[in-house]
Amino acid sequence: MSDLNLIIRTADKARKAEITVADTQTCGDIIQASLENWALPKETDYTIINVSKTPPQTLNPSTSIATAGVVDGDTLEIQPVLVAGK
Amino acid sequence: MTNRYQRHSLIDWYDQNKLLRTRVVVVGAGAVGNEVLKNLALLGVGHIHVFDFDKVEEHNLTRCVLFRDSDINLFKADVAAEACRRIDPNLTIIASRTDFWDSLTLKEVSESDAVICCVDNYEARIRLNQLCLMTATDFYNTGIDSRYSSAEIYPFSTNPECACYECALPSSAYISMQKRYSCGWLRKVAFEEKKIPTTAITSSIAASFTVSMMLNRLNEHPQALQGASRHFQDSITLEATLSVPQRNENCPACRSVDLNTGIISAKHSCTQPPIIPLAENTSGEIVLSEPVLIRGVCQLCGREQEYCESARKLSDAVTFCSMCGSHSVATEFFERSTIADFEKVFAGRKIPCKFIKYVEDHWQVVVEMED
Repeated sequence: MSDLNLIIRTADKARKAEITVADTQTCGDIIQASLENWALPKETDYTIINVSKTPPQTLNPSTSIATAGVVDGDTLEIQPVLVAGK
Repeated sequence: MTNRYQRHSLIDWYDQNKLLRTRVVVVGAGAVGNEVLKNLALLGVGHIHVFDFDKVEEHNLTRCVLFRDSDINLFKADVAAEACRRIDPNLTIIASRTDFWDSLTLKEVSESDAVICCVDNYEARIRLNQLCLMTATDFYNTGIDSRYSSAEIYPFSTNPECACYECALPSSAYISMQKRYSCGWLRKVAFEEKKIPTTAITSSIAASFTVSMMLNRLNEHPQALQGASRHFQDSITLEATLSVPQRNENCPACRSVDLNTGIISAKHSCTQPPIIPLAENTSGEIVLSEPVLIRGVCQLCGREQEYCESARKLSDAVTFCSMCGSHSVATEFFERSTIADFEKVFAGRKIPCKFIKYVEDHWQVVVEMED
């Protein structure tokens, strides 16, 4: 296990933070922490994108950030899962 | 070919004849569905089947390009189809005012070049994703709110091992979905769907990118997306992300679909071979496409009622005992069992689900129920 320094931001770029997390944390844990710290709308579901990768990767919420290939210095973006269509 | 498509013919990679032979299923004829259908009709796609059981309401008129005031209270699928015929009379378009789960066959999905999902809920997306995965048909998913739009491609026809819609779905999505249901997937009568604000801007963006992804693939454009991809557009900053969903080894949809899948069809009422060719191996497992309610027993008065209906067509009203005046009825569902138990429950009865699945000689056999 090792710690990673990451940048987390929202899709609208209004929220941004530098965090240090254990690489055993899941992508879902990061979404949950962002939701709580930034008081994001709770009725929305969120996904997480590693925008530092080329091309950017949509990460599986249940996998650890290490397994998802996230490395020190990466920027992760929290994006809403869009459900409406009508 | 008529002069109608003259400007398209000037595009070197554009194959109009191929588009005229193309078959597309569009599920949902609301804001995004209207834009998708309009684009398909203008591009000269030859065959469309649109599904929507809703009727046009006044508030739809701010986002639906194919609807007019005079269409209020008419079925969306009918109105949208008629508008598309006016756009291009060469188009063959079928409108179904039904839930696609009831009337869209696996055969039709497998014969389609694309299925485009323009719905407003997770369940329909998950089910369409499942049908496309099983039939190796390209699946396109759309989503909007008031600011963002997403367009996703899952090219199962050429890349059957790519990530699917469910691979990156957060667990909170399943929790959100479950809020609409009580235990056993009975719809909550009292549940009121949250209204999500949307605009014609985000719906047209989602539809444009989705149809563009499909068009590029059909025309075999050298830069067409070959893997699962998600385009996410911010309509305010105009920034966009094109990301690649990672395949999730624990994905419930991917795990349930064996790559060697055979699809056959049978009558709803048939529980004899060929539905159960494994009848001798009665310990084999059979999985239904959806939970079926088979029994309700009041925990207070003991009154018992037999059912044989898909849970999705029932509400939690079935848990109410009229004798006791309370929600005291415990329900028993049937979703997976041994073949022997399956035969006991459904012998001589209509099997009220879309399909059943079992494994035979390392092949997953999907039996689609037909009326």
